[in-house]
Amino acid sequence: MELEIKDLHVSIEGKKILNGISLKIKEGELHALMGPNGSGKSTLAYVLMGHPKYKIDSGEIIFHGENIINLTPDKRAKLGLFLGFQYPTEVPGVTFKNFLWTAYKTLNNGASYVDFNEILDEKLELLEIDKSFVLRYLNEGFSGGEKKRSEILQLAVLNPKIAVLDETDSGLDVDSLKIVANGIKKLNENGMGILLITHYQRILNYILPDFVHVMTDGKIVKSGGHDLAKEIEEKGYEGIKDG
Amino acid sequence: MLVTDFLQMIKNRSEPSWLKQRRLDTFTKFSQLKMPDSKEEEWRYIDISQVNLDNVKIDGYTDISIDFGNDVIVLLMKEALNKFSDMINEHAFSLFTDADKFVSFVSSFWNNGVFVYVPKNVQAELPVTVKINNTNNPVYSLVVLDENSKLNFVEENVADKINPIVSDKINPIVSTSVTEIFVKENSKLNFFCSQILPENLYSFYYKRASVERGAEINWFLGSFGAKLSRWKVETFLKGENAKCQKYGIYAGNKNQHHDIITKTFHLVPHTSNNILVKGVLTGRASSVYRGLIRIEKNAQQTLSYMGAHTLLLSNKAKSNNIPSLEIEANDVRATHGSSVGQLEEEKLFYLMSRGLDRKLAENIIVEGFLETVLNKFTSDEVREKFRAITNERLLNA
Repeated sequence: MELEIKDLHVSIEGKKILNGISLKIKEGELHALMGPNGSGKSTLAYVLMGHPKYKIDSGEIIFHGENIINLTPDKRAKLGLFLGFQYPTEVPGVTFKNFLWTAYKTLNNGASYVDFNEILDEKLELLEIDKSFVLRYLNEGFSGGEKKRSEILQLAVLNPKIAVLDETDSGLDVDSLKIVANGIKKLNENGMGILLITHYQRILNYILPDFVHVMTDGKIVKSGGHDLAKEIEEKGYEGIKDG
Repeated sequence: MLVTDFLQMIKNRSEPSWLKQRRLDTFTKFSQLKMPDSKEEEWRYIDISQVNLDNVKIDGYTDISIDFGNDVIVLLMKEALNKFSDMINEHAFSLFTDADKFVSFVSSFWNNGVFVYVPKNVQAELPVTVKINNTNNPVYSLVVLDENSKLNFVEENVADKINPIVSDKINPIVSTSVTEIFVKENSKLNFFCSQILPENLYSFYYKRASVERGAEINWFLGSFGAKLSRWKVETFLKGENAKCQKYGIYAGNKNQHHDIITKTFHLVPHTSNNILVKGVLTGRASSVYRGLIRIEKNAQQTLSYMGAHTLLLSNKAKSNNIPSLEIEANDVRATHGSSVGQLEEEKLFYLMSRGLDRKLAENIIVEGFLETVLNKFTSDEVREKFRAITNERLLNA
């Protein structure tokens, strides 16, 4: 199972944002996508999940051997794709647990509530989240850190084939960052393919990516191993682009 | 109704003489009052051009079923008139000295209703459940909680005898009712009320409550049916430490209009009020909510909040929320919030990214929207019922 992005060009309201992105992510691989603000990282994340406001001008997104660009987000999720949001929206009146159970049974035909509860408990423990958390309304009144933990908890329970994590590390204090990074690492070791979008190198102190890609102006300007992240830290994005 | 018909109706009924006299008095007033027109503020956004109370045909008694525990007194009004004539005489329409055309219609012609009396120190365990089978016949109900008592009252309005298909444009069915509630010192009433009428009826429900020192009234309202549904729910906080909470939901589809007025009058110091009304509209449905909080000059140390929010599921649905505060006192805290909005694409995208199809994602947002009102309900049974009705009206529409 792999996700392959082929020469993807994307615009919004006539403005080009992605200018020919190509990338291949296999199960069990961890890719870090780095780049300055406004380089198009979050756009790529949204486009992969099928946000309706972006227009795909050309290119393909191949998943499960089929081009998914015309599929709605729910169909992509059913194929095994997941997006961890940078800014998850609040859904008042819907408890985290009820929502996650709805998603879980939608994604797993014939799922049992007992199994779901077991998995949820296990993942709560893994991510060191208090049980009362799941009875709160989805993301409502969550702190920045809690929202990110909510995303990772959903990721862990829904267990997709490929996950795109958009700045999951931002807004986390050091302790939370370690826990979240450790969670991602475990999921990755169990075979989940991950595209970790990040602005900072910080999280990469805890997870070693197989590949690092640098994106500027809607293009991947350089790809390499984890050493590339160190290089970015030393030279900055401008240094990478020029070199 | 003609005067001769009216006199014949009075003559035929074996009612106390004070009631006959009162009917005659209010009938005179009723006959003089004109139907409200859209120049009057409260009638601005409501189309009652098809409603003419002077022509409404009334006959017989409204069919009402009641269910209750044995620690309270519950009677059909037509029977209560014999046993509790004095108490009814003392209370009936005493909160409605400013009766408009609709209220004076009910006070002239009411035929049946429910009489509830909770004696002193009785904390009723079982709820009183009332099912009113609405017709043209006006309904008058009286609920009295004597000192230090407690009651859960559940009123359901249906119209099983009305053919929901038949639409009579010239003489539509007009369902009217007045409910007066007296919550005496240190008593507590949870009042649940739903309107689930067929969509060819017009309904006008007036409810007023007087709440005395240390007493509490909690309203839980659901407006679902009728072609046009008007509720006017008013609470008078008359004694210190009196409390009022109003929680209401409505769900409109097709061409329905839901019109809700709530008013809370803080008449003395140290009273509190909390209102949250939420509605969801689809099709070409419309709604107007008017909320008034009035705090009198001496009603210091008052806490009052009013929230009104509408979610529109179609481009043709319309809603108008009009909260207003009239505050004469200076040491109070009174606030309000209101909104009218549509489903947010970002929320839908978020839920869909987890595998929920669009319809399911919409349903979840709608349920969540109303849940923040329903979770205040103190009855699981009513909450579940309201949820089910809402789902049926909106989600499967």
